[in-house]
Parts: sequence; C-alpha cells; structure tokens
Amino acid sequence: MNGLRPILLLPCITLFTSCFQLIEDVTVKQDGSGTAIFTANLSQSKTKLASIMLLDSVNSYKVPSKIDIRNHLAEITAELKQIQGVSDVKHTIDFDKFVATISFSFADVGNLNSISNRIFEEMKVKPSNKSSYAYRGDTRTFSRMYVHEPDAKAAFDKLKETDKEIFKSATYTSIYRFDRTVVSQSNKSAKLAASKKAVMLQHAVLDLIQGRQNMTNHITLAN
Amino acid sequence: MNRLFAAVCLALTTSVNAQDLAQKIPHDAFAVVNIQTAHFFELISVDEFNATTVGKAIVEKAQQAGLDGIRGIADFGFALDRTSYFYTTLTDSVTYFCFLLPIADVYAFEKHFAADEFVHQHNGHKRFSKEISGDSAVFAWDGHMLAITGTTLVNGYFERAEVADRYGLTNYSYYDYYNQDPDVAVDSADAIAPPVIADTIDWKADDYASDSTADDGNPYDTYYAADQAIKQQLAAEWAGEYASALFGRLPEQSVLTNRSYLAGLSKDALVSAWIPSFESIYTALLPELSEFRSSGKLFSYYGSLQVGLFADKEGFKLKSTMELDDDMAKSFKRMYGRKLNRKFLNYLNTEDAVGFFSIAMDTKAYLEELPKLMKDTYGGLFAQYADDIDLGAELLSLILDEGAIANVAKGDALFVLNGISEQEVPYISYEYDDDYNYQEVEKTKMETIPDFLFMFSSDDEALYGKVMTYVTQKGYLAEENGAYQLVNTDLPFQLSLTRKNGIVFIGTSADQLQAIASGSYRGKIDRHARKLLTKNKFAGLLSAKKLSAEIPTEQLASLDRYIAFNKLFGSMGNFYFKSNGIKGNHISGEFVAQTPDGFDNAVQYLFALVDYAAQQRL
Repeated sequence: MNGLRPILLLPCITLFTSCFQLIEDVTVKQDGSGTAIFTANLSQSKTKLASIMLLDSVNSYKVPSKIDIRNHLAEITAELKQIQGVSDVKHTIDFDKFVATISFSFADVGNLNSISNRIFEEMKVKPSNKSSYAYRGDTRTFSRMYVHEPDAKAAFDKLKETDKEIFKSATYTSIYRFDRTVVSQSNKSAKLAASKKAVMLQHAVLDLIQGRQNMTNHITLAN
Repeated sequence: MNRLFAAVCLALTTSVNAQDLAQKIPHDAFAVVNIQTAHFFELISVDEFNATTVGKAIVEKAQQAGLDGIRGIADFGFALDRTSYFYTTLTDSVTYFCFLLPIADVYAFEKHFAADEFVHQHNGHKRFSKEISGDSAVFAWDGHMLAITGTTLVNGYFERAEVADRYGLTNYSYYDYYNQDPDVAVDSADAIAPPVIADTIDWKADDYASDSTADDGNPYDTYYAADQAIKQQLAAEWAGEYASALFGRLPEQSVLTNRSYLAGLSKDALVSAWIPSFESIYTALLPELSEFRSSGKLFSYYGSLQVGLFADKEGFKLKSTMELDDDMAKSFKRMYGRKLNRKFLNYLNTEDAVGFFSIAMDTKAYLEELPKLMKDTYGGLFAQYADDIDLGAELLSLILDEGAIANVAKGDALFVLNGISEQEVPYISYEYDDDYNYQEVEKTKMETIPDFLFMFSSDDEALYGKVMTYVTQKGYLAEENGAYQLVNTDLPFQLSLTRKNGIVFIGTSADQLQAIASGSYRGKIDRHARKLLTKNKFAGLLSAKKLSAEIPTEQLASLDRYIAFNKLFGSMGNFYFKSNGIKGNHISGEFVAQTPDGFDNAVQYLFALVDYAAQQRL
C-alpha cells in the first residue's frame, strides 16, 4: 500500500504551485471493459517546482527527489497490476514538462472503484462517502457518482490564504467515451461531443472542494 | 587621564538637571535603557501626536477604562519633557527590574492610577502593590517620580542549605518521597510535617499542582506551596524596601559616574540601551553556563554593548556599538583589514539597481584567526573538550592552505539585485477536438525571476581557466563571447559567469556578462552608494520604491491593492545598513530606514504611515 504514497505527496507538491490540471479519460466498451488514463499536468508551475526540487524541504514539507517520485510511481504501477481485472498498467513522468500519466485497461467498470477505494484508504478518507463508477449493460447506463467530502472542505478552510491561492485556477477534467451514442445525461454542466459518443465535464478544483459543483452524471447509452 | 575623566564626569553630573532620574540608578546597574520622551516630542509635538491614530487610540482606551478628563497624552500626569529609564540590578539572591518615570502632575497621576488601589503612605512617598501578568510589582511615587519595581529571585541562591535554613525553606524534591528509607517509620518524630499554609497568603495550590500526579501521599505539592509562599513574601518585602530606598538617599555612585554608560549617551537618541558587559548577559540569564567554563573566559573578549534608536531628517537609525578586548580587537582588525575592490564600483548601476550588499574581509587573515577564535570561544564554553577543540583548531590550520584559498577568493564581494525581470516560459496545455480527443500544445506565460550580479575578487587566473575548460568539456558550460553559460541546469533562471580584471562575475543576464567580458559594460554609481561601499566593511541598500515598481502589476490585480501598495511602498525611502568594521576597540553597525521627501522627520513619517494603514482598515 505504500506504493500509493506519491498521491499523498502530490498535495505537498501542488501546495507550492500556482496552477495544475488533472484529467481523467475513461473509455467504456459495451461489455463494461475499457481503458483509463489519468494525467496530472503541473507544467504551468514548473519554474516553481524546479526551484523547490533543489531544496530538501519547504515550509516543513519534505521535498521528494526525482528518484523518490519515480520509485513511488513504479510502486503504484506494481500495486495496480495486483488488482484483479486490471491489466496493461503503464506510467510516464516527464520532469522537463512536469507531466505524469498512469494508464491501464480494466475488465469491468467496477475495477475503477477498487482503484479509487485503494486511493481513498491510503488518503484516510472515510469509506462512507466514496465516489464511485457503475455500468449496467442491461439498462445501458454509466454512472459516475460524486459525493462532496465535508472533510476536504474543512481541511481546505484550515489552509493559509496563500496556500488556498494555489487551487484558484486548478482544473479537473473528466472525459467518458463510449462505443455507442449517448441518449441522455443528467449533469447540466457536461458537454456532449459532436459524435455524441463522448461526454466531458470541466470543473474548477476549488468548486469541487467547496461543494459548489458536482461531478455526478448518469449517462444513458443507445442500443 | 583618569583625573581628567573624573572632572568631566563631575561637571556632567552637576550640570544634569537635578531632577534627572538617572541619579537614582546605581553605578553597577546591569542594563540601563533611556527613553528620551523630550526628544520624541521635539520631533512630533504633543498636539500633533494627540491627533494621530495612536494618540487618539490612547485617549479612547483611557476613556473606556473610566479615566476622567483625559484629552491627550499630557493629561496622565507624566512629564513628557524628561527622560524615563528602565534598568536592572543583580545581586546573588535577587534581580530587580525598575522603571523610573518622571511625574509632572502628581494629582492627575493619583486620580487616574491610584484611585482604586490600597495606598500606603511612607516617609516622603506613597506605595501600592499590583499584579501585572502574574507577577507582583510595587508602584511607589512622590511629586517627581514614579518607580515601578519588580523582582525575580535567583533559584540557585535559595537552594543553598544555609540560605534555606535561614528562611525556613524545605526545597523538598518530588523524588525525596520515593527515595526515603523504608525502614524509617513515616510517622516518626523526625519526619518533617508538611507545613500549614497561612490563609492570608494569596496562593492557590492548583497553580502548581500537576494534573497527572496521582494522589499517592507525596507531600511535594504542600512543601512546594509553602516554599513558594515564603519566596513570594520575601520578593514582595525586598521589592518594597528597594522601592522605598529609591526615595531615600541617592546612591553613593550613580550610573552617571560610569564612563562606559556616559560614552554611549546621546541627546539625539529616542531610546538608548546600555549593557556594561556582554558576558554578563550570559552569566546573569544563564548562570548554568558558568559551570562549563574552566578558564574564567566565556565571552569575556566582548565588553559593553550600546544600542540607540535615532530619528532625524534622514530617517530612523538603529546604531549599535560593542567593545572588544585588545586580543579580539586585534583579530578583528586583521580579518577586516581588506578594503572593497574599487573596481567593483564599475559594475554597479545605482539608477537601475534595486539593492546591493557588500562585504570586505581578508580571507587569509580570517582563516588564520579562525582556529584561535574557535579555541577561545568554544574551548571556554565546553571546558571538558578544550583539548579536543584545541587539537581540531590546530589540524584545521594545518590542512588549510590559507594563502592559496585567499588567492582564489580574496574576501571581498558585492551582490547587486538589478531587478525582477519578467521571462517568458513555456508550459504544456491541451487542445480538445470535437470528440474531446486532446493533444499537448505549448503555451507561454510570463514569470518573474530575480536579475542579479555577484562579483568577488580572485587572483588565481590559472585555476579559473582550468576549471572553466574542464567543466565546459564535461558539457556543463557553454562559452559565448567570453562568458560561460550554465547548460542542462535545473535552475529556473539562466546563470552565466566570466572573469575580468581579477574579478569573477556570476549573474543572470548573459548580455551583461558578455558586455563585462568585452569591456564595454559601463556602470553608474551615485555618491551615496559610492561612499557607503568604499567606507564600510559591510554595507547594503534596498530601495523599497524601486522594488515596488518591479513587482508586476498582475500580482496587484485589484485597483485598491495597487493604490495601497504604491502609496505605502512607492513613497518609502531606501533602507541601508553599514558597518565600518573596528575602530579602536569598538565594532559598530548602523541600520537606516530613510524618510521620503515631504516629511520633516522619521517620527512624523511613521505616524503618517500608521494613520494611512488605519484608514485602510476602516
């Protein structure tokens, strides 16, 4: 489980950055299997990050070395490979651009929950309020449930004003792709692709933390 | 010489105002602080002060506290045209802290401050005791002076057996209870019965009782309470006696006969502080340290310390001077024997520079003196390791080739902050097509980075050449027009270096470094900066005005913030500090915050700033 620690380190790194982008890109096939790629793009803050990484610690936060980050990312990959139904796990990290990705294939949408549960467990988030993914072939529905975490808001409120600034322009993008067209979807903020086979939602991370926006979306697919 | 000095002292003491409260301060006071209110109110009149935010707040607070008839700072009854003092005196058993404040209107003072107190009438003065932050202080006054006296007892003194016997202290240790001989019956006649605390003593057992202590019959709390009660009683008695003595005969020798104290006085200081011996700070505040020393030397090479805060037309000045003994003064003179390389001045442009910092030391002398300094300071402090430190110091001296090191870096350097420049930096973003497939695109944004130039004198040209050639071959540096640029670096800014006229330059601007290398760079230095750099061993300057202009406007996005920032810092003067090293046996330094144009003096500017800040909060 220690392999998931970099995710915990991520807030430490992002804490000193002025901007970052997170992208969740999930493709779901008719049988419920699919692929996913998660991207963290911190390149807008690369000058600051490059400076910080020259130091051992900043404001009592330990700064991980490049080797630490690479090792942890490799550990995550190994960790994900152990999850039943998850295969083809790959990761990339580019310290020139400060962009990292993790991609994998899954046999069933439910595998995504196993992964997010592991992450939440590692982040010590109470299991009662978990976000989840669900796909039902019989009703042709894909659901992304998102429950606002009051703990996250409380933790955010405790941050110093300067640290809060960091989240100001950070964005979270989720893209769900299907091999059939989308008939309907419940989230009014979500946009439908020209092909009608993809749904995209973009939110400010700050709005998600504060509970002002919700990522929950129930998507119904065509036959 | 001594006779002449005595005559000067006599003349001084007789000419001081008979009401100068310094006459009450003993010759051997451990620290004396003068608060020259008269000079303060020369710089800002009483009426002007009353009209400031601070002045109004004082009146408002006084009215809220129920003090009648307070319309200004003068209505409290204190004399604003005479000096107030704070001083401490040390004895083996107690440290006294005293404030001496001149009184102008004793009726006003009594009306406002003594009305609700239990006032005792003594011979020629009145007195009451009052708790201030948990400690008892004695307020004593007559028609001319208020003395506020507090005390701290020296614990070590009361742990001595004969002293404990004299005052009836048990000094019972918490562990005594558990270490006592089990064969001795507890109720034996020899056992000390826990004392009964008299009702009249104002002390609460809870104040000292530990929550975690189980009630296992340990009488520690009771003994401790009894000891505390005795000590508090003693402290209160001694403070009272001390305060009364201030209104009796003057001390045979006041601090006004102390040559070191008089030397540090200045009529222009708002506040000045004098400590007769640097070492005494340690011996008084950390008496445990004295147990370590064997030679009797700790910080004995340092003598008196004087600090003064001044405010004049130029600005606020904090000046400090420390006295050194002959040996230390000699070492310091050697270490600071070098002058700043005057060629540095050719590479400073004071019209553009936001700030600079210089140091002029002699590396060779410093390295030669270092072992001795180590031995004297740490050898004295850690007597048990004196031999090891001595050996380490000798070895260090053997290993280092002082001359060779000094050849590489002679010991003088100048750092120039040319500004904060904006640099276009690329970053990765994404572009989405109609089906939300995305691809990486490169965008750019502006970022602020420091723009600086650092230079130091170096005679070792051969070594510089060898290092540059080697590092360039290894691919870490790339040479262009005589300047080497760092490549493949993780640094967020460019860094270049070059060597010219016996000076090594390191800077962020490749253009500037190339111009230096080709000899085409022309600096421009104003008179003030030239004097500051050439006359001092350490000096530095920062222009708040230029710095405020450098901060990118996007960082001050809102108009309010922009206006407030520019009003506060845009008009602010320069900050600078300087130290001209050692003169005679004294080493001194000065920090100056300059007053901008449009204000008569620094005090008026300070209150204008406070007024402005207060208005912003409304």
